Amino acid sequence: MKRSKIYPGYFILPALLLITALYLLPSFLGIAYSFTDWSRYSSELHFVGWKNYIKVFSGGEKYLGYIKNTIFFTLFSAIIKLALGLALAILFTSSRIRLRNLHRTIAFAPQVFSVLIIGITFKAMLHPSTGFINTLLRNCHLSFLAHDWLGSIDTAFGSIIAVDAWRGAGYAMVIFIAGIQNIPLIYYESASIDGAGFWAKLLHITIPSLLPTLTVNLVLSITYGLRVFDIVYVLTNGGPGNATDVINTATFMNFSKGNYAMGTTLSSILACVTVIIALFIVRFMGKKEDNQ
Amino acid sequence: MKFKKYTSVLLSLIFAAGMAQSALADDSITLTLGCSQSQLPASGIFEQLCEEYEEESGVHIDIQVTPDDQWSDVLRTKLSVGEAPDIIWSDADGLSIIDRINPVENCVPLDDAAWADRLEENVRNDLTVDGNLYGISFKGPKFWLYYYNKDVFAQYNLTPPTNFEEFRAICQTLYDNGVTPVYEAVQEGWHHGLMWYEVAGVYQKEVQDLYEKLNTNQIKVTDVKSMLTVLEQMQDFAQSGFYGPDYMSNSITNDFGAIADGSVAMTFESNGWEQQLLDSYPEMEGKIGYFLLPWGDNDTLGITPTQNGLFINKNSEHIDEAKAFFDYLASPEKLQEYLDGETQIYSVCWPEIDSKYPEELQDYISNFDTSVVLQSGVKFVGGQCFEIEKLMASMFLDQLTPEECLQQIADIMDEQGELQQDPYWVG
Amino acid sequence: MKRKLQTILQNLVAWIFSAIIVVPIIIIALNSFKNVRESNSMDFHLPSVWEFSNYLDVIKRGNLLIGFRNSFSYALISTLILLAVTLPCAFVLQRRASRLYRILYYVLIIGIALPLNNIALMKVMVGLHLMNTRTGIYLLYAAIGLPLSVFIAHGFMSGIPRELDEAAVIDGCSSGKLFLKVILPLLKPVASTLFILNFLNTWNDFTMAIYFLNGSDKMPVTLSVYNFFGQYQKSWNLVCADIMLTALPVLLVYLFAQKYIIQGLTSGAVKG
Repeated sequence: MKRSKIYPGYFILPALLLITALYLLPSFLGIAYSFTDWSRYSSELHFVGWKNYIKVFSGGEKYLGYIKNTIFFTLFSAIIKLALGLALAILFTSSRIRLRNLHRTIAFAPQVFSVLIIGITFKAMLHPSTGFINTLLRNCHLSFLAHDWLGSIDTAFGSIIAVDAWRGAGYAMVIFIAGIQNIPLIYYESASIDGAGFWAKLLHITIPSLLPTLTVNLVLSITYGLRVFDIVYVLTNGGPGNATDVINTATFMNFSKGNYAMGTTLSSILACVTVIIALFIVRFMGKKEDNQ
Repeated sequence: MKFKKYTSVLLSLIFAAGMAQSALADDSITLTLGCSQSQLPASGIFEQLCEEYEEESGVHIDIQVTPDDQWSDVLRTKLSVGEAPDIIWSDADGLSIIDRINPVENCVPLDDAAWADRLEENVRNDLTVDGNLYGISFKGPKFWLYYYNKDVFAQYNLTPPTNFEEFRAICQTLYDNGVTPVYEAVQEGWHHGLMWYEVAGVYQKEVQDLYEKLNTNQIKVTDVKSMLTVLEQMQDFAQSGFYGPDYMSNSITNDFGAIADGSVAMTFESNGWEQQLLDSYPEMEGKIGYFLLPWGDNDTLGITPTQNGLFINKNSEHIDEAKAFFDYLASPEKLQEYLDGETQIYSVCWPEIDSKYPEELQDYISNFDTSVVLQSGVKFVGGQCFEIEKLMASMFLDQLTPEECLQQIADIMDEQGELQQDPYWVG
Repeated sequence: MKRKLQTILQNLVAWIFSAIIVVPIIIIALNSFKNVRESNSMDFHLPSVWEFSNYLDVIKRGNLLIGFRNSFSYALISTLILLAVTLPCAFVLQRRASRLYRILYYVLIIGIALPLNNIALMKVMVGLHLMNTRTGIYLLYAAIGLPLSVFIAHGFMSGIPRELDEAAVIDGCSSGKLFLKVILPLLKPVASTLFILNFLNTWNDFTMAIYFLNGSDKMPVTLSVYNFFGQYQKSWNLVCADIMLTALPVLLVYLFAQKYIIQGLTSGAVKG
């Protein structure tokens, strides 16, 4: 029987249609609009060439600052989330830990709450005087550690990354656990017989075997970081001042101001960069896997 | 297993109840009314008026509330795609209604309404575009003062200041004695910058016809010295610790408690704040004083004549019913009912209805000339995304000098002028 | 002895981690039972009076019954559409490995990385007459979940041996029968996972609803929390009660089905 009869092409049509109409079409439209002066204030559209792009890449410190912040957030949040996720995964698959399932459930639970709710809660918890965190620190005689977490330039970004890690570590953990459970125990056993300790096993067995799951987590974290909006908007709205503004908060600001063309320009730049980086990671990790 | 069963039964019941709740509401004519959270008076008087109207006319008003910080964006989006509600409740301070809802394109002219002549003149002007009246409004003018805890002042032998030097000195005394002088809440996004707009009387004294010159691009804000002075004062204030240690992260709604317990001496709030305070803290009766904003040695009362307005969507299928609803709300008895039921305003913008200012406050403000605040008279400031306020916050934290801040404000205004293709900017 | 100490230490570390994660959740829960003044400081103090009435208050003022019905229908229907569209698609994509199909696969999963262009999407929705309709929202949520779902389902499919297909075909099955009678039953685990993940994400969303829907009768339950945020008062106790109520269904679904989530993410992540 012909391949195409058993596996008919029309099975994939609905999915393709949906994606094209609601995902790809707007993205391409967006790119097209970025070469115009599309705004809320005029129903006419004029072609302006690269004007918007030039503005972004040369526009003083403003836009470059947003790009810098986005990269900063992406890198650090990815590293922390993955490290934490890995640590939790290793911990909660160890046979020495009791009630492993309970721990895993708790770790994933933050995913159940919407970002809006998390923002509201943590904003209250991070208040310098009445917030839970600082009150706890003061009760433990650690007042010197108490800061205006979201209100001071030094700690604002770190706080956002921390809240984001609280939320996202569980997700990364679950994926890592899946990978760990696939590693044949024989590897560990023979390594133990050869006298390998905890760290040696970690470095030479666990991590290399986790490369595919690491790739998945890396792609997810990095694309999330580059596109981040909700958590920053809800916690600081880019503040204090512009200290935590990222590309998507800038896009939103442009939308509010009616500068739709600039908004789609930033969106399009982000889209290209994200896709390129994602492809790059997948290629790179794929090669590493082959080299194994 | 049983638990799963119970849960699914529960969910089905809720589902059914939800369907029932909305099915019952589908009978009569319904007017949809879109507004933001804080446009609705907290006392519930507006909902009450709607219910009374429904009893009388059979027309149901479906109030659809959107979160504050998203309302103006959502409204614009919905208007641009033709999906806005029948009645639109929009902020309408001065020049902004063209930007917010573009009434000529989107709204129904109301010049022939019976109540049009009874509406206060300034408000009517603000709601008129290209010669046609488009909206109706109720709230009286808004102005801002510094409210202070009289006991705290008495404790340190302080009297309300009449200029900025005195204000600063008072704050220094309080600060030295461990009391936070003024409450501030930068994370709200708008509060910490509002005083710069409100003391526009100072700027108008420095430059003749300031607003007209700014609006026709003859001068920039960087040419107005007093604007820079006020920014410098604001930065100095923040950096001297007069706002207290938490000022970046506070919520503005917590100033009630802070003033009531005396941990903070003063707060920058709008008229009607005192009444709200007394609602929650009746023990503060008689213990709250107020004084005019002293920034830049200001001596005029900055007024926002029109705060918001109700407009009728051109695409509505029930334009006549909406007009009838407006007529109802504009009847003298309903206006009086509104004023009586709204604890947080002192007057309505209908001259025939007496205001209910406390005598003391009435006496106090009659001492001053009034001026229209910056955001109501000048184009391209006071944007919804608070870009300018963010610059000010950066200035507090020493990321910008006041000169740089003012320059960037001018740049933002120019950018908007070009974007909106204003003839004075694009020529 | 050293081993025992290590074990105790490891368990302690595990509990510390879990405690850190669970603390905010406990605070929200506690706060939901306090009165307005007490709830302003979100802390561990037990409420002086356990105000169960907060919950009733919230249900009434937040229009929660309508909100629940909306959220439930959006989440359920969009997820069902998603499954109906994804599973056959992943099936065919995985089985036919030609160059064309590989490209199509990448086109479908590029959405994992591609950000959604809200502004342009608005225009498209209007053009398709989907703006402010329930159908539009169902399709939109399904489209948003599509890329990752295709990725996971595709990975899972590689674990189903082709021999089964061939056996069924020899027995005279058409493609439709093959899929429905043979493949689909085997896809139960990944279908469960996708169901839960997408249900969860859709339930928690609020931005899409704000922009693409109109009318208070269409609002999902996630927006109800704003009803308790006035300009003049933030009733934290009611906000927290609302949070608990809106998170409860998802929490229940998650608790019951978390092993499926792991299973599904397993197959997708490892086989990729």
